Amino acid sequence: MIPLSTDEISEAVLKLPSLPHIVLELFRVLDDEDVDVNLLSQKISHDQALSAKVLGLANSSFYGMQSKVGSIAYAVSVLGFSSIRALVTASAVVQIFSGKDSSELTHAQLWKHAIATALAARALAKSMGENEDQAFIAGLLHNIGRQVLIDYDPLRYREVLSWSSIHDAELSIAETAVLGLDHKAVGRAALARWKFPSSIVETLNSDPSDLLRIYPRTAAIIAVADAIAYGLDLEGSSDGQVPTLSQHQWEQLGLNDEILMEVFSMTERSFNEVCAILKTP
Amino acid sequence: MSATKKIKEISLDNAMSGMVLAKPILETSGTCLLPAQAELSEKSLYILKNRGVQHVTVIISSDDDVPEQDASKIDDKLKRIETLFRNSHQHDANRALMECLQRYRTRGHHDSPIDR
Repeated sequence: MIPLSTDEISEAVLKLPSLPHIVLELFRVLDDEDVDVNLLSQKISHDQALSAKVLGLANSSFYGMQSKVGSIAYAVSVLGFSSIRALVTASAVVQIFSGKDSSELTHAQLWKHAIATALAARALAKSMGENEDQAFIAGLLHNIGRQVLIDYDPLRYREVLSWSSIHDAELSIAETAVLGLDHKAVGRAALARWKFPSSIVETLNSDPSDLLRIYPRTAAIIAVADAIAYGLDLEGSSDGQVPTLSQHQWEQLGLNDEILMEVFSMTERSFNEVCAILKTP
Repeated sequence: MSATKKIKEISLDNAMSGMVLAKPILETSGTCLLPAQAELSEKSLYILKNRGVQHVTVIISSDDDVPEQDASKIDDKLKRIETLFRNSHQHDANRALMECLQRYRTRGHHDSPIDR
């Protein structure tokens, strides 16, 4: 075991590039009733790479819009500000890790899993009347710490992968065994550095007895969405496995066959398209 | 009965030359390999296979003989589900999810092992 020290976690997180300014701005106005939507739409439009992705998603089967969404301002008016914020954030975070390559567990594989989880989380939230955009973002970011760890020390992460393969264990278990922590701690630190709202940061809290109680349903949605993403086999890794679900979280969502089938189908339907639009590396 | 046109996602293995695409085929990079309305040829099927494309969405008429997923493919999918749940199926929540996925993969297929 080569534990990762607190200093190293801080260093890993500090090495992360900043998110585009517009993302911070969108979070800051989270609870602001008087937000100037027009001004924000203009600012999003100025970042061409970002707005191309946002418009791509707005026009995809993800939303199933009848008419073409041609501008950010129009996207805000038909999809709502909260959806646009989710799409901008998703595009910006994926962009940060794009273009990087490691030959082992690749960023592409991690993003595929993250996108599948995000889509399943959104579909679950929709079926139970929870906040879909928040579920989407939390699902997309649930393994962001893993991306940070791989970038920070690829060689050490290779140890995690080989431990996981030798013991046929989930990555989180291998992370704890090799690094002394699982990726969620790093993920929380990364999201805090990017000034994400606590409603999202806390969905990465792995201690169910603790702060998780504040957002228990979102956390349960993400845990189940994560298992669904593995179960649907969308990440394209041969040695993946479905993590153990907490019975409590499973029951909390009160899912039945009909809801689950719809969630599976919605997730599979948008998956390839959303991966292509976000251009997973 | 007259032939009605339907759109159907089929596995590339079941695609045949002459079929017409209902949706474009995009690579993960976003590059369009083939546009919607393109007719599949043996050559394009070969290229798609090499590019790792697994499914295509085609326009079919209902009396076209498009093979449903055959039993061996469904068996493969069910085996894969068992593999994915290999270390977690003993937990009630995981088993419930696994069984639902099995029903999902065998939907509309009457001879599925699950229905027996």
